[in-house]
Amino acid sequence: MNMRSVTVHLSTGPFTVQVFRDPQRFLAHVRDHFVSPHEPWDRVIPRKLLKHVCQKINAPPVRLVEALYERVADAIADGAAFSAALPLYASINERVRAKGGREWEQTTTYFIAAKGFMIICGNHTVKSAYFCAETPSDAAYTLFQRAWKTVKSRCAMKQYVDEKYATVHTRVAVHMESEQNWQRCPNPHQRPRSAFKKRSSPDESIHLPRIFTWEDDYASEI
Amino acid sequence: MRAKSRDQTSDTRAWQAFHADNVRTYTAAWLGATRAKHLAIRRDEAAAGLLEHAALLWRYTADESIRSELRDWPPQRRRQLIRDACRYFVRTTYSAQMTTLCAHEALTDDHLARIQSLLLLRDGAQAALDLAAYLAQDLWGKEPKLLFALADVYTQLAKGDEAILQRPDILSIAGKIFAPFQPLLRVELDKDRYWWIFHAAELDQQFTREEESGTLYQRLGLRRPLPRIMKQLPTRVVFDTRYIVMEQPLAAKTTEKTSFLVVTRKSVASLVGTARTRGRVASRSPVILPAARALPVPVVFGPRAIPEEPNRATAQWDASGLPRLPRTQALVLVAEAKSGTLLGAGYFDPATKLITLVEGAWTAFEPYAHATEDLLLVLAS
Repeated sequence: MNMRSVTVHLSTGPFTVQVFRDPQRFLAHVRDHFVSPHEPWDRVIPRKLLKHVCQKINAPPVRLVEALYERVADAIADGAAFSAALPLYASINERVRAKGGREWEQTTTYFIAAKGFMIICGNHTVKSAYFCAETPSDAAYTLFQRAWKTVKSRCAMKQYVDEKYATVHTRVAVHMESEQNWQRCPNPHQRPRSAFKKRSSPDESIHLPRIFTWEDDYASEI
Repeated sequence: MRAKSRDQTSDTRAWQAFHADNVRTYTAAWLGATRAKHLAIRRDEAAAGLLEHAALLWRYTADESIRSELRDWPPQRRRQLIRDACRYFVRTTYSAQMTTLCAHEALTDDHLARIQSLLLLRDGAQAALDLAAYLAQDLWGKEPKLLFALADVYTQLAKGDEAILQRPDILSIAGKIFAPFQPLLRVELDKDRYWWIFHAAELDQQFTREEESGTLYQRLGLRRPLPRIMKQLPTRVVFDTRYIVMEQPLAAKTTEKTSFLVVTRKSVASLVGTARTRGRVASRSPVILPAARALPVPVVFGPRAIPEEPNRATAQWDASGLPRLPRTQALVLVAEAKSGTLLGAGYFDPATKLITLVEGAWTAFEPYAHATEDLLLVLAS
């Protein structure tokens, strides 16, 4: 199976990543995510293909894996391109200190696809892609909001100690592009606010004077 | 410092705007407003989103009008909102995902990242449920079904909570995702209820203190660092395939109010060996009670599969004839007598004086169904 590469254009220049390091990693990811009943991958990959893979998950035929890989690579390419064009991505550069004084640096880049799944890249490979779904029926709007919140929260972490592997992870630099899009979630599934305001709720009996103005109260201060 | 403060203020406002934006969207979606129809958000999802983001907005603003305005809704509408939200949360896959992830012995970065995402979802769900309970305060008496609906959700979420609470080594790292939110809090949160926010920091402090003073490893008699030990958890016993951490009542010759006893699979073997040679180990160690014929621990019923869960085993012993029984509920480890291999765990009930096996695979216990004398009970007293 030939591993594909994806190139997107970031503000710092072209960014090329290989879609998963090797077929084994990809297969592990298929089991963990793509055929997981907890994640709505059938919105991205044809349901029939996922069903076939799922039926033969223990020993999937090479042709089937290749077909799935092509679909996944396409989805990741589209997702990363959307995220880079918006722009809505973040790079975290961290220094890892292991027991015995060994130190190294690693960079992790996060993209958010329009469908709402996150793409996590490190060491020039796609390490993971998954939905932050609470139920598989979550709307694309919700999935995108959750992915945005997760990435933003992760970027704000300063340092953590992984006692199990005796390593200390310290953030050296965090680059969030663009600042505006990380201040306010640019959810592609939401219409512009002007379009909202022209129509009214059909349920006129509900008294909601402030609920719809909360956004304005807090957002105006940003 | 001033720049940092400005950043924090900007961040606070960004989160406030994020939640306010979502309150607006989910409210419109829940009300079925035409302007929100294109979002394709289901009614139950919208109700859950409305409650979650309203609760988080209140958390980061302390603006009471957010809650009171919802409280002013007619009872029928509030009832519907809570029912819809409960219907969503009861379908959540949080528990299933968390249980699967926590079953991994060694976590990859991907696993850890997903656990962090799940904890963020859990936090939102808890905030929503707390707000739901606040909104339904005057409805409980008339609407017991509402209470059942909330209880169903808590039961559903508890399975996932239990899985992560059994892995303090994971929680201590994954919980760091909440560190950036702590300075933003404008209301006081219950530390026991929102353990995922507060315990990572506590675990860190506790671990660093004990590690620096060297007392942790000395007390445990271990050379290798263990996963962080958890204090003040809702569950008192942490049990997994590698180790057992249990809160122990005030031990003799110790100045601390509580101490922790850690039993690894290997150390069970050595404890069993000590028990065989001495009959009983020192007072600070667990009391070893061989369930052999030599000691009076009559079997009420031998190991058998639980009818509802055929993969799990249960068994019961009558400990009433034994001296020095604990006054409170105590953990009992069940090991194979010859090798000391840990097979399962149970509880001693001081009211009935019975020891009941609650954790153990039927495949492990099947060979001992009619050979209970080959089992050892290790009672932590």
